[in-house]
Amino acid sequence: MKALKANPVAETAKANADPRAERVHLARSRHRYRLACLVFAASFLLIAFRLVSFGFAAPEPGSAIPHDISATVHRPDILDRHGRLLATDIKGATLYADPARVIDRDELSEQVASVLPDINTAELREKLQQGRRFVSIKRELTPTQQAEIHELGVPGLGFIEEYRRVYPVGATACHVVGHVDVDNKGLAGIEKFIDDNPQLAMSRPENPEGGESVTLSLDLGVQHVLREELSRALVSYRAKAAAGVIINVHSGEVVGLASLPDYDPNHREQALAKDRLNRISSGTYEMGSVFKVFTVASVLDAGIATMRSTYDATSAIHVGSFTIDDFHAKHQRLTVPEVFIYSSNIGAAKMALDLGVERHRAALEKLGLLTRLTTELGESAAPIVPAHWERINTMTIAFGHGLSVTPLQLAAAALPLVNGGLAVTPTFLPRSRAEAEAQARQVLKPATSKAMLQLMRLNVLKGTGKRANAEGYRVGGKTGTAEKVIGRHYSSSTLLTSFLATFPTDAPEYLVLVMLDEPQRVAASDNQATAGVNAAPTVGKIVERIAPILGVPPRLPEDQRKFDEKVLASY
Amino acid sequence: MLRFVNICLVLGLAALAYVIYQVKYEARALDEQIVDLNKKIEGERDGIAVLRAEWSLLNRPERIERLAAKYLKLAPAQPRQLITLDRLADRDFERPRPETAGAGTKPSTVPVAVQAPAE
Repeated sequence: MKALKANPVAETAKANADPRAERVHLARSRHRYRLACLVFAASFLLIAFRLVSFGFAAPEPGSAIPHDISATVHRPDILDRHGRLLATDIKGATLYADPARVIDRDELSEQVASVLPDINTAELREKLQQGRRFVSIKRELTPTQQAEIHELGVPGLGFIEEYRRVYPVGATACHVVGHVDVDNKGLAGIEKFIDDNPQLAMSRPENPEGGESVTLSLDLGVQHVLREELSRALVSYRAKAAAGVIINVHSGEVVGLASLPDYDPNHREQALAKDRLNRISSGTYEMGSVFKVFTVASVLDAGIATMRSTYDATSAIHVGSFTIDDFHAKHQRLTVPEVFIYSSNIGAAKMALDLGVERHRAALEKLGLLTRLTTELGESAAPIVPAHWERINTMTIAFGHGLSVTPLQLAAAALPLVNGGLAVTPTFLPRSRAEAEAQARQVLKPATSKAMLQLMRLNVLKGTGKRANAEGYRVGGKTGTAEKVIGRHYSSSTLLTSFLATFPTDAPEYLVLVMLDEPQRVAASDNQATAGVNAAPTVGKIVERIAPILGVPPRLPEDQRKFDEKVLASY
Repeated sequence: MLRFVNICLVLGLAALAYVIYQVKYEARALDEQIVDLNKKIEGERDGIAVLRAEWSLLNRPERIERLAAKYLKLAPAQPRQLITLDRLADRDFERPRPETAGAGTKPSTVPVAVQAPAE
């Protein structure tokens, strides 16, 4: 403004001719000058303000590539009881195309096909033509494939990061863990159970990675042994199927469950094959003579017979068109232990009749054999109970024909027989003995349980279960050989053999049930096909290997206990 | 005087504005760093998940068993090789020792593989 005042002085000196006109001119130009200044000042201010506002503006949310993983849900890890990983999520890329940004459809499909040969180019081209904004091309790319496609540099292609479920141990625990669909939703087993009970993962946030996880009662080592021994049995006895379950008798925790043939949950399409079902919880079978443990236990528990009672098994029983006879016939009067260890059908039928139709039925009901057993695995089958329960039903059910149950249900019903009489529901989640006992019902007298353990041990020492004897682990058990119904008749050549065992019998810890479907008469089983020569030795081998894993100490009779000289020298 | 105060205030204001701007700018840089680090953490987590899956793939019991059979000269412990301390009878200690374990060496311990307490 001061310079402005200096200016007119110079100008007045120059042009004095018309001072008035000059003054008017000056006044006008001063106005213009001010206006110009104002405009400049205003625009500079505006620029300054804009700059500052840019400076203060929040940074753009996220980065250039939006991470969209909403398509699949993140699932908690599944761990075994010692924290070993059974199922986890890893990120994989899904390739997609945005038709709006594609320049050359043909080139794009050819380029993509050069990296992913299994892509149908014609179909892809057609999809691109339909002009949607999102065309998914391939899911679950490997990192190398992703890098190669990135290298192509074709415009219009993009990747979405998605979670993908992997099962590092493969088929080893497939029937318990289950599997998921393409969208990472649980379809079977514990995976499905987690989806239905999301609080399961949240209640255990203590795992080291800070992520969510679900711990199971399974022991991976036991699971592996069980599956391996079953698959060996499947091959050596040429059986159609094999299944087994191992349960802690006090807590009811299932530490191992396998059913062969099985599938690899990493290839979920295998699960659809018809014979891949979980035989332990989804199949119902007439289990045969293993049922005698329930008959004997209920008779002993009711006080109708003692260990010294005898039953006449000299000749077969004829009821209508049925004939009940013994496989290992002795043709003599048998004591209760003899009925058990020679697996006498006649004896068992007579014992059940002594108990009476109603009481026999009530005893089975109390053990949970007549109602559906529900566990964390959703797909459990209901038992097939005869519509009219007559005398003949009682007699056949006494030795395991005429009532179909799931093997898991049979194992669960056998728990009170060996753990002191407490009915414990099996579980696939960790549970302590105290927790289980708080929920359990006393269904049998402790004395009955003790007698049953004696009988089962006796059966392994002297009876049909001799081959199940695992040195030092005091196995006790009962064989079961059931004839399968082919057409309308029981067939004596198609058998379902099973072995129900517990160890150690002096203080039971675990219960093992193994079942073989249609084992053949092969040399490995002395050209026989009954449970004593195939299911029983399988159990023996399993117990021998799992007892050290489960921490059951071996105990040999004093006279068999001696140290190797070689071992002695090495110390 | 009043003019001086005014000038001071205006200058002060300008300085303050500059400082605030600077702080804000730094905060924004830090924000970016946080986003960047979070992305890296996410990346590391994914990496860990992959490694964990690989670790348990390599630790499959069947694989360990195969490798042990191939590279180790060890066999599974037999029941008679395991005994708990409380099961030892006195007579187990009264075995004749081999001749060699005489002279200078301390009497060696009995061959006892003490079983770890059950879980």
